Amino acid sequence: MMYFLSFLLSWLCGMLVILITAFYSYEQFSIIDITSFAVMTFVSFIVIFLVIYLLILKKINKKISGNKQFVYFPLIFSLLANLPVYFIIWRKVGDYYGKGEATLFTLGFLTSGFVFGLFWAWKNKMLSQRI
Amino acid sequence: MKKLLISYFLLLISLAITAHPGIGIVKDSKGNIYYTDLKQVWKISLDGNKSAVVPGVHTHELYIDEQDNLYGEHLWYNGETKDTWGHYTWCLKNNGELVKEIKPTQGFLTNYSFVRDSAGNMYWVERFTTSRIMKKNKSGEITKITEGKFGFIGWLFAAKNGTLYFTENNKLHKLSPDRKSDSYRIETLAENLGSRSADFNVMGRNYTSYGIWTDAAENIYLAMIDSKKVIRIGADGKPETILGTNSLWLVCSGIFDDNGNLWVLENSPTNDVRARKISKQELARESIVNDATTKTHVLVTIIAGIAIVFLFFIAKFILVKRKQKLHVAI
Repeated sequence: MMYFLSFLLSWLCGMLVILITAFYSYEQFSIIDITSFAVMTFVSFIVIFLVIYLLILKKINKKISGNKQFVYFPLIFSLLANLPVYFIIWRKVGDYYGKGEATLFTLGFLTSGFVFGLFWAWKNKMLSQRI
Repeated sequence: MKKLLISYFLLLISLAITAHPGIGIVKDSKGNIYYTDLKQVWKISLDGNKSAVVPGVHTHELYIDEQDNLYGEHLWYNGETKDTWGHYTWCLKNNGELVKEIKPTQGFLTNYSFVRDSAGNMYWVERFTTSRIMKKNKSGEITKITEGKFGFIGWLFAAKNGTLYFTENNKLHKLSPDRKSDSYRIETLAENLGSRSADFNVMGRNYTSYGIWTDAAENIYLAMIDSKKVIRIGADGKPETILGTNSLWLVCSGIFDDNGNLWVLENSPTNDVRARKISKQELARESIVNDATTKTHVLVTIIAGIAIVFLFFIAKFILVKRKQKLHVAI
């Protein structure tokens, strides 16, 4: 359940950042734009979640403990775990989308990774605390 | 990009297509509309009847003079073995006679253009590292209007009075003739035409703006091909969307008829071409649609925000329950 919730929460936060940024960078952000970004980020996020995030989470959960998790988890997931995604996004600029869209995608994934890391650090802290 | 889903669909079904849509849509003095679909030239009469008036011609541009003589070209490729091109230009006279103006010639059209003002002067762009905009007057004298290290220059448009408009990357420029001297004054009307999309590649170039045209009040309109909209450039240089579409048809160019209706030339992913009439009333409704788009954007953003808060509280609730269970177990 927690995996599912962390996935959904992270993806939604990424989408929210895309939606908010679009107010400043898009003249018109139509329902098709919103759907396109939602579907693309959702599918990509499922892939990296299953292939990269869960593996990294399993490893760093054991290696990093305590309050350090609040610093390292968001950094690792937003920067390191997302590296392949950033690479693909910027490699395809000009072919399928422009720089503006690439920036939005990057911001979305940066946020998703950050929130995912923060969520698991918070979850670990919550469970380790005494009632 | 923009509409990623659509663009992927476009890519899937148009992999083999080298997209280079035409912009040729003109009207005669009676109000008949002529447009090119790159295979022939069509005429839409005032009663709505459509007929092919110049069959078997591949022309991207059209020009109609004040006597209703229609001009275009036919461009063809001689196959990979020869790897050469050929062309001729034609004129459909107002009496219905079709004549060849320039006889079939090897290569592309040079020192000739369908971008003309009412005096019959021709204008064209020579795109190099230093690009030039050239003019040929009725007596055949060729002069250079301007030159400079521009970015990619799109289609050129000449108003009746000889004022030229062209886009350079994301900018719109105006070249006004100085009536006292033969010089032209260049002015940048808009710095940021607004499209941030670039999924529509035309011969290796990322196009945002495509065809340019004006209305009776000399407002400037641009077909933003990959964001599927038509924008009007106001006096302040600010682009205003006057028409947007979510369909697969791409607006390439347009023209206003005598009643103020907008005719747009649209290209499909399978390279079909159509001319669509948008009435004055429909254009007015477009602004309402634009407002609705903004409202949808705001609404979806708010819903996403609420969903995040909701999910956070669910997660917190589950964790508290789990902690209580652990506590009981201990």
